Amino acid sequence: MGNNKLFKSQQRTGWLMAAPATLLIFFFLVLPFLMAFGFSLTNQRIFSPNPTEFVGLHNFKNMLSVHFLTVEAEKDETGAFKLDNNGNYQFPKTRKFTRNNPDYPHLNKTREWMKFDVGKTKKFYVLARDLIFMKALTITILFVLITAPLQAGIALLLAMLINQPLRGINIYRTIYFMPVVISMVVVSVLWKFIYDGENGLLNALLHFFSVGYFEPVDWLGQTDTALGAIIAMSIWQGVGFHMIIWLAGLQTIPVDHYEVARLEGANKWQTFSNVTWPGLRNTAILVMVIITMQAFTLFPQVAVMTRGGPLDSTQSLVFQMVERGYGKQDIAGGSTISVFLFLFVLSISLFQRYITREKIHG
Amino acid sequence: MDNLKVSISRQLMRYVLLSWIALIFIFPLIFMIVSSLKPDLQLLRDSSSFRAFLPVGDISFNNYIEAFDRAPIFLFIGNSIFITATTIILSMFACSLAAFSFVFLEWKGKGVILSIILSTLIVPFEAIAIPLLLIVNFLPWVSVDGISIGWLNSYQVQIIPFIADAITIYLFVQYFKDLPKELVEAAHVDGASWFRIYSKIILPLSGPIFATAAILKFLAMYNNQFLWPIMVAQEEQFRPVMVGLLYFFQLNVAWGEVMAYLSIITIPVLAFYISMQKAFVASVANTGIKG
Amino acid sequence: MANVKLTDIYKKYGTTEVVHGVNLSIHSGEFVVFVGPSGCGKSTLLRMVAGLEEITSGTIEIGDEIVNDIVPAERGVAMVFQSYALYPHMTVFENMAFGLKMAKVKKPEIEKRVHEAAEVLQISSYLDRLPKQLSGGQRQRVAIGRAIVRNPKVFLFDEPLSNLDAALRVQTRIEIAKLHSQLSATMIYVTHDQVEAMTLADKIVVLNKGIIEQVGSPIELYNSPKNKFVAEFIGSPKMNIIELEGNDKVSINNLQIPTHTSKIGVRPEHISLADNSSSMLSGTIRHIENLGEHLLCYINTVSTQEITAKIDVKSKVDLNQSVYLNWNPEFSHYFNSNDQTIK
Repeated sequence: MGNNKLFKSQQRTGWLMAAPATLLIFFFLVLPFLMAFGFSLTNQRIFSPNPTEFVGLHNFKNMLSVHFLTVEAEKDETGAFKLDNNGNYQFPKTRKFTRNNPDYPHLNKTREWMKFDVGKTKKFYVLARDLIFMKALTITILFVLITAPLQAGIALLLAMLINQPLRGINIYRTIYFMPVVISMVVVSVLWKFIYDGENGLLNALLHFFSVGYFEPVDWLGQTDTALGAIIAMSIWQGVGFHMIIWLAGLQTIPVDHYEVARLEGANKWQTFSNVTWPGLRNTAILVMVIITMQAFTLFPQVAVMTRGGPLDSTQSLVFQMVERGYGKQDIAGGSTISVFLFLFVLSISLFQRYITREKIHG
Repeated sequence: MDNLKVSISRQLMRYVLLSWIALIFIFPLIFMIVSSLKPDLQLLRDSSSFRAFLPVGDISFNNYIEAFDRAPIFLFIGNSIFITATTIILSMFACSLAAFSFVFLEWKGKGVILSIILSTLIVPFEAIAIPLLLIVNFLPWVSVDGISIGWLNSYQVQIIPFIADAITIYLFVQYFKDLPKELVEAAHVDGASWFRIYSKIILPLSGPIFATAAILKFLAMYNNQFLWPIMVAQEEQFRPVMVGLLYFFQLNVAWGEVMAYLSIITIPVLAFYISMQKAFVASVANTGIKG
Repeated sequence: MANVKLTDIYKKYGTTEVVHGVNLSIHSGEFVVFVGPSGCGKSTLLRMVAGLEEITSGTIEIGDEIVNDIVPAERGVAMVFQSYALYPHMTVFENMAFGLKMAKVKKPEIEKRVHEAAEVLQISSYLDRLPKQLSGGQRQRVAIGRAIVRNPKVFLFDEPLSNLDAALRVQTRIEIAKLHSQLSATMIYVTHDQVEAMTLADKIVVLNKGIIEQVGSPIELYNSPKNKFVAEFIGSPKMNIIELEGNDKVSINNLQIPTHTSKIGVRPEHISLADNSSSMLSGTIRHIENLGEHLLCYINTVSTQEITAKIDVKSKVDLNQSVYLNWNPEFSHYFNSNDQTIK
């Protein structure tokens, strides 16, 4: 039925034209990705005297395994709490429970991750078998949660600032976008110097602007400032990109909408919330999706500036992935993180899609 | 008269605000370039004051001369240019051709393939780097010396895996979708073959999107090629510019030379950007609109 | 020039059938207009003749040759698109020459044919310009010129006048008609505008929801529509339809109504004001439109059906005036309950 000869040639030509790109993507993207899936289910190392074994979900279990432990203060024979010389309660070390304790087999080889006091006589521990992974996971999530809204918000403010018909406004636009065309590697090296505790430019500037009040800080060397420093630098480099996307979105809002608002006497905030923001809805979704996905792949900054430190306060998923897979030749370990990252980002994307879907108007 | 004054002072305030922000974005660059002209000791001293931004003191190009001694910079730049340019050219054709077939032709399987390609947007490169390393270790290559196995330490290993990517294809697909389909139909009735329609009708109308895709690809290849070359290009002969940075961090770090090297590899890009900033900005804007 | 024959044409998109068995014969040199409301399948049929749409089943012959499996370029057709579809990056000359270049015609021959076609359409002075430098009407002529240059067996027009303003539409319409008589070409023309159909066509094909309602000359369709759909589609303003069924209140006097009639049709231009004795229908004027050359009166009859009457502009009529209407019985159309015309 039908006259398909005419359109069969489209089949052949279609395949032919799509073939180069499709084959390239298949061999250099899809195939390695499937391999990563495969490796995550084994204990493969790049060079290993032992044959590779299939271990199923063992790697994932290990990596994600988290346990809870409540420990009571030590008591003496009479059942009363023992006190030390300073009058403090004494608690058994966690390693009592995590090193081959037959009563707590599931806690074997776990390490202390978080610790909470419950009253005076109890401590509550969160233990993880792959502590560094957990740190990488939480820090990456923290990075995303802070960077995404901040970068998107600042970009929007800058876009609105640039969207004015001032003379020479394009010069400012050019400057704000400039960091985007600089490699993150270059940016990381440069800022490493700027953040330096002794000779750093940032400390000098802050010292000057605070008229001597400000004391120098070793930004990358302290656990409470390292991540923040990386966040600030990442936003500095990336905000110009999203500013332009917002700008494009702003410029698609029809001018008459603004004129209607002016005629109706709307003030700045009202105009923004009733004309600008609704018109930016699609742009907002795009910006958030891109920023979020990008933020999850936090890597060059960490690799160049802190290597995960100090004390694992700037660990990231991708950094760990590369450390294990390439640095330690533990392909299975690296692949496990890859698969996890992919699934995690996928669910976030789907979730983002879900909550920003067009609601059917009744 | 009063109104004029108010509006001028308002404008002035706006310029002041804009300029302060501009300083935040530009101060590291000024610092980098100015520092590259200073000897190390002075560099370190100056960076704790405003002299960091001023080309004063012992200014010279010494750091640059030393930098060229420390690392084969021309080689690295040449490599980067070659790799970037080749990838861009091949990518433009492969991706636009594929996008053309997705948009204008009807063939079984195109929906599935396009979906798979787009789903790779979520996969960060680092996730596939290790398996990819294993793959390229076993790929054959034909050259004047015959057939060899393994692509390590070559140009092709830094080019071929990056020719096709989901973003480029997506950009072309969205652009082609916006072109009037009747043009293709008219060309059909005029007797043009599919390849003729691609080359004589669609390509000439695709200037803007080619510029956009090429610029984004350029940034990706020149700026972001870091992990992969470290992994696969251990021989100096094939290393690109970002990897060259490592040369300046072995043993003693001469910050002056580091700044010089950073300047050498960044200034050309900045110059290119400033001269074509309209196109750069349009690229990103396009991506936003097509998204 | 060639004839075109459509036999048992069906078209399906997935599971939806949009053309249900069309049979049509077009003679060589005929100007045939496919007309009908949106979605009736007229464009789909045209595109199947062009080769831009797959034919689900049935055959199409051009010049007695089955073309189902032949590519558009080799069918001997040329098409003028609604949006002109001129190649924006090519000059007018290059646009017109493109098809010939694809057919590997030699340069001198191309020059000759393009210049000839440009002469016919009076666009010779624009040959070096780009489409964006031309007005809508000029672009339309280039699109037609591109078709002429290929010396096709059949010309296909897909709503070519829709993008033009009213005045230009009339002018271009006349030019297309002139072209037809000059070239004696077979032309298939698709439009939703029945005025274009009436003025241009040798033969009109009225389509509705994928089937042919009627085929005939403009006069035939005007005077003898086969069913209510065709009756209402042809002629502007629309033919009045008076419902008889289930309506005791309507009373038509002085008219012999055949049995099985469920609706009566009469065109506004055939209705005139009458006096009580010769009246066929009475009502009240609800709205008057003065078009300069005539009046359009919208009259509510006793049974609240609205009748439109086109009457002389000098008539003395007022809003809410009670009027009597009549018409020449020969101009009545009677439809049965299946909306078919009763002979």
